[in-house]
Amino acid sequence: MDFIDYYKVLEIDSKASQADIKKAYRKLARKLHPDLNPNDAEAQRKFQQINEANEVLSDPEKRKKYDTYGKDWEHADAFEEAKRNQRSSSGGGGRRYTSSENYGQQDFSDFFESMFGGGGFNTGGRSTAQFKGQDLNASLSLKLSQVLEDQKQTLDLGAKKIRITIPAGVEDGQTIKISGYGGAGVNGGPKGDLYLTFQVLNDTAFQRVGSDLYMTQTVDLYTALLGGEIKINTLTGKVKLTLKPETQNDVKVKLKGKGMPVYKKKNVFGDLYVTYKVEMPTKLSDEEKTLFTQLSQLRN
Amino acid sequence: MEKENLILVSHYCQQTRTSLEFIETLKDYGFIQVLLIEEHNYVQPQDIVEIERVNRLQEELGINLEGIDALNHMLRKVDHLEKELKMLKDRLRIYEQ
Repeated sequence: MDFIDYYKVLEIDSKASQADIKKAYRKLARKLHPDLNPNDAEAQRKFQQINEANEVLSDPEKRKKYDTYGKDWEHADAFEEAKRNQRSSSGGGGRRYTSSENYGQQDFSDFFESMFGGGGFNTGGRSTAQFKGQDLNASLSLKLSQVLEDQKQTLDLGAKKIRITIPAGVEDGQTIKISGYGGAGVNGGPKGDLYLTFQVLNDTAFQRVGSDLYMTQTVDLYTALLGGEIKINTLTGKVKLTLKPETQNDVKVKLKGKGMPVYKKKNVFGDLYVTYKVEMPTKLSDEEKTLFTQLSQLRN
Repeated sequence: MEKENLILVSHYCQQTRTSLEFIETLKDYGFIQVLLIEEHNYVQPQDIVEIERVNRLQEELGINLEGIDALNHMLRKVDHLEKELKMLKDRLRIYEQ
């Protein structure tokens, strides 16, 4: 658990006034707010940090405690306990820190939890306000060959399991929102949402660009020169292709509808692009060399 | 249209302490669609998400509705550009290999 410099997080000086803190927090919140940065986990992480920093620095008591112990936060509780004992033995009314209640299930750092107890917004002046619960992020890995059809999956969210249907054609890095499966709301506010990001790992010989697929197919010299038929593998089985005579190296052909299913469009598929690579014969026999020489002489 | 999956605006407003005027304003700005069925106003579930998002942007960041409208436009543009960038990167990878 590392010390967090809340002043640095809010990009302010340690002598900053409450107005400066408010201004800095608002400025960074406008930049990092999750609604303005959908699908950006880094922005969300930073937003949580500035919330945490604001929670501490905008509360004079918390700020005082933070400023007093700072990097020695690990000993804060021991210091507090010692102080309380001192006060009670001298008959003074020791001030007690009331731990803030865990309202929004705000994902505060271990450092915050250690210094101030359960994370969450203090109730000061906002106790009746309703807040939507925290949005959660999760990722799910799938193989490319698994996204050819709708996929039914069960997600384990810890406390509960939910069944979801992943539409065919979902892309790598794509995020879907599952409404109402985030953190619990505050003061009766609605639940947050669950953002599920897919990692689609390519377990095929194809390269995917959107819903189109690309592949390279080697063709022997004689089929390329004289024409002929070859069989290639597609995602849905083997397909016979006819090569025209004198097919050149790097010629590309399009197989319509042999690509990936298009996301949320039933029975619509992308295309498969096949690039021919002509394979030159090696280890020529003497007879072949003679014949190629004759061919060469015919050309020149 | 089937009412089963729709949300009665008056019910939503009552439950969430949202004013009917706010919903009306969001409709006027084109953020949500309000459906009038048998003299009752309804919204679709995805519009609730939008109502809450607009509310958060107003409450937490102090952005007015004109600003949110401009922001929506920019977010759509960013989303489109991000998708295009990813597609072009994927395509470029093919030629780099």
